[in-house]
Amino acid sequence: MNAATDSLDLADSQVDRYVLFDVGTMRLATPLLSIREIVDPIPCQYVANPYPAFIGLANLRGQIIGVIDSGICFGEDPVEHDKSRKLIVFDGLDTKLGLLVSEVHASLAIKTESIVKEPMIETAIPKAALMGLVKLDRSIIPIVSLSELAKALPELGHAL
Amino acid sequence: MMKTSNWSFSRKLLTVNLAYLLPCALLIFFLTKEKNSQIEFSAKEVYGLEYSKVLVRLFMQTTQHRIFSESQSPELTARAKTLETSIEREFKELDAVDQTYGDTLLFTDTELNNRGRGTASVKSLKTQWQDLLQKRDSRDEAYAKLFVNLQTAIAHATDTSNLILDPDLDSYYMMDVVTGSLPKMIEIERDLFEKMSPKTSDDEKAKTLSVIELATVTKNLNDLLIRIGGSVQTTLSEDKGFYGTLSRVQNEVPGQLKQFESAQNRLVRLARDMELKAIEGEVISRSDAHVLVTVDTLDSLQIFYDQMSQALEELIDVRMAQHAQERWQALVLTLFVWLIPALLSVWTVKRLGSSFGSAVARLLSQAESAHQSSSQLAQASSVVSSGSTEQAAALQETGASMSEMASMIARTTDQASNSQQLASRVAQKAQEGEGVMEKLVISMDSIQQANSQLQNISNIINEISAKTNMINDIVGKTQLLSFNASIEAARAGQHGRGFAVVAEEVGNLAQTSGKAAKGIRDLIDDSQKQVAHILQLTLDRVQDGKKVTEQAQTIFNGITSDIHLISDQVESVSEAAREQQFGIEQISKAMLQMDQTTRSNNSAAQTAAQLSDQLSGQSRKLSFIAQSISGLVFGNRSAHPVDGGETSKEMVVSQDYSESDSRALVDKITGASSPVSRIEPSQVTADDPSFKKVS
Repeated sequence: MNAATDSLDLADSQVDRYVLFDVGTMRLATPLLSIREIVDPIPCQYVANPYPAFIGLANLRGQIIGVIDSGICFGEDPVEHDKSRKLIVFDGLDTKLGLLVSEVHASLAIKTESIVKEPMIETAIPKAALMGLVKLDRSIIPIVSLSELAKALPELGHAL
Repeated sequence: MMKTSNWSFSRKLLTVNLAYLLPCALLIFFLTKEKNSQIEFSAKEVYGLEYSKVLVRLFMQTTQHRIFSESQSPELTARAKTLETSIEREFKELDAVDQTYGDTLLFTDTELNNRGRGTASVKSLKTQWQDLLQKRDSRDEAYAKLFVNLQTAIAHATDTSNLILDPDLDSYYMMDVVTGSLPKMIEIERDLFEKMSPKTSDDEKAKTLSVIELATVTKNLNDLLIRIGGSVQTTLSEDKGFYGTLSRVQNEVPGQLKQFESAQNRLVRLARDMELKAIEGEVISRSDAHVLVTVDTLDSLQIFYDQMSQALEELIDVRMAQHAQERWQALVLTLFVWLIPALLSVWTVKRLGSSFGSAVARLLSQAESAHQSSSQLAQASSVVSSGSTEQAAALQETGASMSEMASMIARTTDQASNSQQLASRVAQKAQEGEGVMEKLVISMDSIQQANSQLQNISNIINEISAKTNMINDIVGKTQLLSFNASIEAARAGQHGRGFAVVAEEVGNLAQTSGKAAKGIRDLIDDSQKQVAHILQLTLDRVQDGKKVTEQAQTIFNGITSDIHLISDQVESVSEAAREQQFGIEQISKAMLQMDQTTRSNNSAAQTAAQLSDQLSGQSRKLSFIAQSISGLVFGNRSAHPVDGGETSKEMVVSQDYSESDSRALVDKITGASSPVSRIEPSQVTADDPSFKKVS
């Protein structure tokens, strides 16, 4: 994938920017504007809660954020909380949340027409959070909505 | 008649001993006879003394009886009666003594008559005494006759009892006192008493004569008293070492003599007083006091006589005891003189008998052994002769074998020498290999040091890896920063469009840098793994190589020492081979000499066979000699020939035969065995003068 080339091709059409990230063996994309920032993992304090994917609270420069395990959210193995991971901070329902992912790859500009919206597939991704699919090179990458994912949080991970 | 030459040595010695006993027995006989005669001589003196003691008492008492009987005093007349009883008792005593000693002392009538002393017999004396008592008047003649016969009897007892021949001066003088002087003194005192009687005549001449007679008798009494004192002193001062000293006599007799002399001097003084009175013209008258003094003097004389006779008897007893002791000493000494040689003879016979017996037995045994040995020697000589022939052949074979052995040993010596040189070269190579191994160890140490330097390179790579990680972190943060910049640019909308482009480019650069850094890191990781692997591999190989090198060095050391040992042993083998070669040469020479000796032994064995025949004959002669010695020692019963060929007498060999000639024969045999001085068989013949017969 060549992001620079892609961005040049977007000059004459409707494009949105997405961030590619990995969850276990799975590569996903999410809209760039849904992300507040991407930081290195910060220490997380576990707080008892009924949500399996919610792994605790973290102090992000004085602001308390909730931390969610992306592996549990997308039906993968839990992501290990170490330095090589990344924490994608986004706005949840009433607070900021941090999604712990395996790796963040790139920020891409993707033409809108190249996105297949509401695909008729059954995945581990909550259906509400699956915004569509985009084809990059020879791979198909699901695009997920982090806000929808936050909404679906009570439902995630119970099958584990 | 029995020949004494056939007697055994013990029998001869016993005969000599018995012959020696004869002079000893004669010596004992004569010594005993001499001592017995001396003892009998002395015993006879004692008999005479016993006899004379009774006679002297009779003489004393009859004298006193006469003195008393002349007195008119009733008291003295009573004492005369008392004396008569005592005299009768003394005569009975005389009878008893005469019964015991009369014959010995020749108091028989015949002997007395032969000597003209027939009136001095006991019987006659008793008759005279009885006759005297029967007479009332004119007793003087009877008294005189009795006194004379008593004195004759005393003299006869003295003569026949050897008292007069007493050989010792001490007892002789005492005998003179007892048997001569004291009886004489009785007579003198009786005479003196008679001279004291009053003279009724008025004739002056008769008076003067009576005074002279009184003075003469007094002088005789005094002289006799002096003589008695001198004799007693002579006895006391006689040689004390003759028969020893009698302490009692030495101690008591001087006092007794003094008392006796005192009593006698009293009578002498009384007589001299009467002499003086008579010379002065006074009338000499004899009173009872004179009688008592005279009788007291006679009593003291009787006492002194008993004391001196006892002393004389003791002196004689001492002499007899001395003679008896000397008789026993002579007997014991003579027995010893005979017994010691006799015992020595018996002991010598027993010792010589056992020694000669065992010596003859050994001699016979040796002769028999020599005979058997000569037979065995003859057999052995033939065996030696045949053996010498076989030995000569065997020696030739042995000589050939020794030559082959010598050549083989020479080859062995050469090969040992070559082996030694080869071992020396191998030892040199081993020492060189040892040096190479030492260098190899040093090289391994250098490789180990190089590996350490490689470890340093690995450390540098690790540092590069750390730095690359840091770059990766920076790349990650830069990428993260570009992401956030893109987010912020996107939120800025149209205003952030250019910034979005920059952020995107930064992100791309960061991504590119990240990829490059990732590639570098992969390369570094790969390099680290390979370097670590190489390091470990090199370290292991170096360790293994070092161990192997050390083992090889140890083995090389062992090989070197073993090679040295082999070299030494090869040297020893080479030296032994040289010595063997030398020994073989010596053996070859010795074999040559043995060959010559064997030839000599062969001829010597033949000589020994001839000499063994001679030795056999000489052993038989030796047996005869032993039997001759046996006959000489044990008598004729054992001196008989063994095989009846010759008598022992015929085979008596001169003294110088056995040792010198036998040694000559042995020298011939041993000389024949010697390769240096051989003798020819013809040199020893049956006519050899080395042995000779003595007819």
